[in-house]
Amino acid sequence: MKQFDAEILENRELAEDYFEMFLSWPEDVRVPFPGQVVSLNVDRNITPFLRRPFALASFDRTNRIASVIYHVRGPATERMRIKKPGDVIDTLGPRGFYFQVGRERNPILVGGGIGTGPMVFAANWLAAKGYTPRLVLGYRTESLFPKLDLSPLVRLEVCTDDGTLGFHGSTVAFLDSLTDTDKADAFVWACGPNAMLRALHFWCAPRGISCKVSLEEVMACGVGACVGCTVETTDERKMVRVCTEGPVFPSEVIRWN
Amino acid sequence: MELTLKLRNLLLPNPVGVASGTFGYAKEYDGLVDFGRIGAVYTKAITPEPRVGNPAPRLVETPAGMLNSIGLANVGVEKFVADKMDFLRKIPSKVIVNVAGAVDSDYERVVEALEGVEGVDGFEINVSCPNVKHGGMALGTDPRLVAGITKSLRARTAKPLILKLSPNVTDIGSTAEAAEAEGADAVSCINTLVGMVIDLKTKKPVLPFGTGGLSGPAVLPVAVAAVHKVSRRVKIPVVGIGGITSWEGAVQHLLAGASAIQVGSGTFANPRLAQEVHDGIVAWAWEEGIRSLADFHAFGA
Repeated sequence: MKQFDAEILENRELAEDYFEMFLSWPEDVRVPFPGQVVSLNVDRNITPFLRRPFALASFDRTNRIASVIYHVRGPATERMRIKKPGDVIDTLGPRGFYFQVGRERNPILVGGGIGTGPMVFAANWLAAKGYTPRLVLGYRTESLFPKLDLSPLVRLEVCTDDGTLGFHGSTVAFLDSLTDTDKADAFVWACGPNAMLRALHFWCAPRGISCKVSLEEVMACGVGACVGCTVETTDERKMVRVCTEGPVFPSEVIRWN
Repeated sequence: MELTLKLRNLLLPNPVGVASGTFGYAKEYDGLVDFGRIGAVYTKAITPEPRVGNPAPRLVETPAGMLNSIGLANVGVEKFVADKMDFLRKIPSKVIVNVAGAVDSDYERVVEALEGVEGVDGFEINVSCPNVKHGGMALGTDPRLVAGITKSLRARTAKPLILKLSPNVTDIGSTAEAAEAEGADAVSCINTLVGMVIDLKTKKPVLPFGTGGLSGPAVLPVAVAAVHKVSRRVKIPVVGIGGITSWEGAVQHLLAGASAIQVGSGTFANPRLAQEVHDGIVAWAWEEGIRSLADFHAFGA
């Protein structure tokens, strides 16, 4: 992990209030993997005061360009939105445990809202490794569905709460529609709202499907020092830091209150 | 220019420290900072036994700051020595262990356990944590209790003893005087201010115990005023903490009467803040003809 000034190479709108920011990635900074996080300090202002963590949405190894997908929903992301190519942004990363494959060969990746970015990264990464991942993305409505740059090997399934695009219903309801063949040898990776991750955990557990989730929590330091971004676990650790022991966890480790 | 500070048998090489609770056990920042420019690391508060800390959420951002309710989560003194001291011995920064507890005997146990440990250069006594039910702030708001704990710990250590004061009192000067009278080598101020954020959706406080400790740039003027007051009430050095997010803020603390400063939650926003503050203080002081810590105080701010 390093702290560096990344040059913004592109900042494009993907959907209503959803943007993707492309950042230069210096040679001496480690290659990031899906699930890993950068935290950005936009303009070093005193309000908002804290850095903002984002799971990476892509990494181009050849040109060393990383990206994050963000939703404009507060003063920090509003400042990000108006950034132009050539501007620089204080970047800290890459950080955290990433998604790692096991024995299963049938990936089902589930993203909701701002959880889209890391799932797109994971889907493209798995496709490059010879998998044919199913990418299930959920949004409230069609206008929030972002234009994505996906490998042709990724099987995209879009779900909307209002039925304006793709499957009418939640991502978990979509999983219910899968056949046994679809679910054979499956593993689930997911990122999105906690309610969705919780529902996914309880969908996967009785079916014996391995489920890994990437959690989002408010972070202060993002490096493991402040112990602020903790979540409760079912194991003897009782509490873990999302920034350090996560953000990716096997879903059964998390205490889903 | 000589900006060192002598505390008993300890020489702080420069006035810039990193505040307890904002820098973990220092290893978290390995590779991100230049410890050569950080005079002192004040460790995460250490208690006799490990503490899991408070339930989530523990953080909420506020205008120009943040509230925390970590609840003194730490590994406990035994694991601190076994697992954390190796790294702390390697860095050039002086290591001041922040000590916390629920009752006097907790503080005594931690100090006794660490008194002979190589690499522990001093103690900062946390009598001002607002996020625990017992001890902590309740102890630090009563000058008689501050006097009592200072006296007890003074008898147990030959290392520098710094009492970290709470701003959540009517007169911070009287707690400072109590610490000085019983042999503290310095006081540090301020710990966080009690604050609350209420969620308009749930109509309830965001933090599980209602309140948390406010830190960040919002508290700078409160901290500077506290340092100003305390430094006029005691002769022992004052370590200024609170709201420093730039070298200019740190210089305000020094001009107010501080002989050293700690960068706190500003590190969260910029891990390199402490060293940048160090460089800024030195450059400004040089330009202004300031050659010692006393010169900062001579302006009589």
